[in-house]
Amino acid sequence: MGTVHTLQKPVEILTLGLAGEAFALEAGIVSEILDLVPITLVPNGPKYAPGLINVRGKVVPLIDLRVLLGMEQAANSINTRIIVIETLLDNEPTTIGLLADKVYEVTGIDLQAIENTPKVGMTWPAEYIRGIGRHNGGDFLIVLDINAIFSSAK
Amino acid sequence: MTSTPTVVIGFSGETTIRQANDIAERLKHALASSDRVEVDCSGVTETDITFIQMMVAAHKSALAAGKVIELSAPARGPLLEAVTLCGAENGPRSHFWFEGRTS
Amino acid sequence: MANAPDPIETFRTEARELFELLETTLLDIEANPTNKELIDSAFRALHTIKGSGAMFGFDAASGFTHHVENAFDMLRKGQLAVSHELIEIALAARDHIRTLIEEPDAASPSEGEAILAQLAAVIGAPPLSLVPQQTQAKAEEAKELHTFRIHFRLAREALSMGANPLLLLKELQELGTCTTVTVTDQVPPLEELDPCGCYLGWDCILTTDQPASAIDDVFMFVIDDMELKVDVVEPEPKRLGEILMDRHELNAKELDTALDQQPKLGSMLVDKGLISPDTVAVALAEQNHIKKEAEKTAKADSADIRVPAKRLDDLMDQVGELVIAQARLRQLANSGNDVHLKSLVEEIERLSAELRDTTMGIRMVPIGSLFSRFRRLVRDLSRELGKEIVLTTSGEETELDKTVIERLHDPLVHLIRNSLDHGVGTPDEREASGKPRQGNIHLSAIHSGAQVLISIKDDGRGIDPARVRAKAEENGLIQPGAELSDSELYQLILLPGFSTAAKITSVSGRGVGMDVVKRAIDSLRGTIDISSTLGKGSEMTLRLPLTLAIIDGMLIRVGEGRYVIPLSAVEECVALSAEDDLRATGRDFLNIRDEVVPFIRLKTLFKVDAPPEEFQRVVIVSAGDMRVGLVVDQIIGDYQTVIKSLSKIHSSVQTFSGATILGDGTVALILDVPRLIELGQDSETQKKAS
Repeated sequence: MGTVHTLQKPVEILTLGLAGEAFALEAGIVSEILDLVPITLVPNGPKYAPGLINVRGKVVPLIDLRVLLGMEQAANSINTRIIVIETLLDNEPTTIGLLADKVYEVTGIDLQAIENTPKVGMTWPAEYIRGIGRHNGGDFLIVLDINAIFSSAK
Repeated sequence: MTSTPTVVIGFSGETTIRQANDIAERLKHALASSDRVEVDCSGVTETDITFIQMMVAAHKSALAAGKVIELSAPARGPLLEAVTLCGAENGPRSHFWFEGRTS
Repeated sequence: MANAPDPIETFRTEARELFELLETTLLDIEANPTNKELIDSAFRALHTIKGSGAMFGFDAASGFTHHVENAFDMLRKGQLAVSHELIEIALAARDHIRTLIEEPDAASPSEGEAILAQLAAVIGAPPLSLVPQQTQAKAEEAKELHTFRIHFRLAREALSMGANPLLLLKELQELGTCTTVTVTDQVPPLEELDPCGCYLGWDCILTTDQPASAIDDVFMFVIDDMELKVDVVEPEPKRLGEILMDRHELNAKELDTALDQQPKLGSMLVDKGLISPDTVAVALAEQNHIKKEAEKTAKADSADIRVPAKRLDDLMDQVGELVIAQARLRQLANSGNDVHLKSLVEEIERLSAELRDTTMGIRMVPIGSLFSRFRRLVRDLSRELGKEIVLTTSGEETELDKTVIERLHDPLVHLIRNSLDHGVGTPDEREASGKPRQGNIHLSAIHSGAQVLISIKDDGRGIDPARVRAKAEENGLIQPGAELSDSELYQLILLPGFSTAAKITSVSGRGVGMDVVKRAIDSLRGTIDISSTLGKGSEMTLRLPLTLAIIDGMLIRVGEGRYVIPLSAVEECVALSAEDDLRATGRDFLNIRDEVVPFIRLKTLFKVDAPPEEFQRVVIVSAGDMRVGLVVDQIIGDYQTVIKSLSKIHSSVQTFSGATILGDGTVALILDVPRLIELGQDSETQKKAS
């Protein structure tokens, strides 16, 4: 049985590509989108957080969502982007960079379109997914729950 | 000139910052409805600087509008203590606090 | 209004300072019972707590304090004498008042009554004094009277924040003879008045025998947000014209014009032939001079300013950013040929270094403020344990960052308690071993290079290496028969789950908590050294880095990655020849100038998959007495860097204490030297243990 998430207004989302699949995340938490910058690797660090980057003088951890979602990690290309977000980590506001193979656009998704449908085969942890929406009346989009991803990634 | 009847408003119990907004409303209302306002403070058991300040403001308003506002009787008890602390006897408005009603 | 500071919390913060002052003063009075200034100071502190407590609604505290204040008033007047008992009661009273203010629900009324009963008994009893009777009989010196002109005005929202001007006026009037006038010119008409706002000001002329500080004390809890002007006034009656001028009702010009129309006293006298014009001139000059002198000494402008801690944190962050940006600028300038640019960049570098030093200095506070808090602890605890122990200190003026000092409090309390409980013996025990009955704990602090060394030294029993070994073996921390030096043994005390306490006393509680101390010092990026001589005493030395945020670092390369080593930890660098490298394969130590040094190949530690390079180097780092050699591929150079903490995602990765941004904009990780040394030692110890 699907439950409908009732959000109060049309939600702005950022669409991105990871390992060939399209995902979306809440645009409200996105502060900027960067081209690929030098990444400093952290030896013996967690697999999903391979390195650190410099964002306007701030040292920001870089997260590879593909690892968290159990997907294949392709090499970086000219399309690779880093999405800088502000989110809560252990209840503390933290700046984090998300590695994306491709970034599409910021767009609106309206509330009826976000439904929690188990019909689509879930190959990745269900708790990371906020819901599925239909994008421009066309493709299905998986809307990620960033907070959930970070609270369980430890 | 038709003279309006004197409006007497009485304050009793606490007249502190906690009652300040209400006190302000009552004073404004009284001044709006008459040219003579008498304030009876004999029932005041506790007061603070907001009340004294309010009286000063009311006095200024009355003066500006050509009206009269007076105490029913010279200040007593807690009110007297408070105005004494403020050095009312040394100020320009001492008659307001220490003479009370003039008619 | 959601973000307005809670007035009760503000009061509590201010009160905390008063409590500390009161405690120190009481202890000082015990040591110097004839010092009148100390007694006055304690009285004034109690008086302020009483008054302001009432103002903020702490009626129980205020009422209680009133009694203690009375006792000190009697002390002041010589009607009561200082005694150990009185100080004891006063200290207990101070604690009780503090509870009443900080945790009113936890206060016990019966405890308060008991203290007051004891106080009454002491007051009623014939004076068994610390002071010989003769000096008490000395009449009180006639106190000098001063007249002050006080003008004050509270902030608009002060009343809704709990300020009570009537109480303030009452306090002032209690200081002496006071004439008050309320200034009402800023009160708007009723229609425009905010009933809860404060539009009034007050002018008071106060003649008192108290110093000006007593006036400041009255306003202590509202001082942050108000206008206060205190001027000394000559006690002789002033002429009307002067008074009007002083109150700014009249300006000099107006006064002069009016006076000009009046014949001058001086000229009148000269005309009458009574005095010469020179006499008048001299007298006028004197009059002016005294007036100017009085003006000069009247105002004591506070040289201090309170700043919210967050603003300082922000400032430090910004200075940090500036340091980074300036390093990048330097790199850019150095890569070019513009001479003017280079010299300008050097200038900016100098300025930012100065700014950095000044900013670092703002938060530096002498450690003495921390040391003095422990006097009471030692006094009370040693009594409780039936021991005689005195705390001495040195190096109180040594400065540390304020936050570091705060974080040192608990670890130091632990260490002192240890010495008190386990280290120093009872007077009888000490006498039996030929020591003086009174034991000593000595706290000291000193700067050493880029570090601060804080030591806690006692002249007690010392640490018994045999007992430590036995306990360590018992708890499986080392193998029986393992070879360890005494200092290595002592370091085991810092491991969790270790305890040599034969019995648990109420003082230290379960175990010794040394691992908690170690963790606290680790988090300050410091180390603990332990040394001891059995029968003579022990010494714990804390080594802490001096600055928290900006360090001088050495940039090194391991594989493709670059890392920073805090320069203060670097002892030396040596080359690692290919043969040495081969010789060291499969071993854990290097032979460097015939000295054996444990080493770590960072390439291996960081799991870098690359062939060994030709010109590797070994950076030998140390923390305390221990060293380790770090094998790196290249030493790039020195860098002044700002330490940025790692987010929770990476902070648990061992061996890195933070990150920084290099001149070219990339991120470099900062190596955690104490942790690396532990790793190096671990392999050593493990080797010995196996």
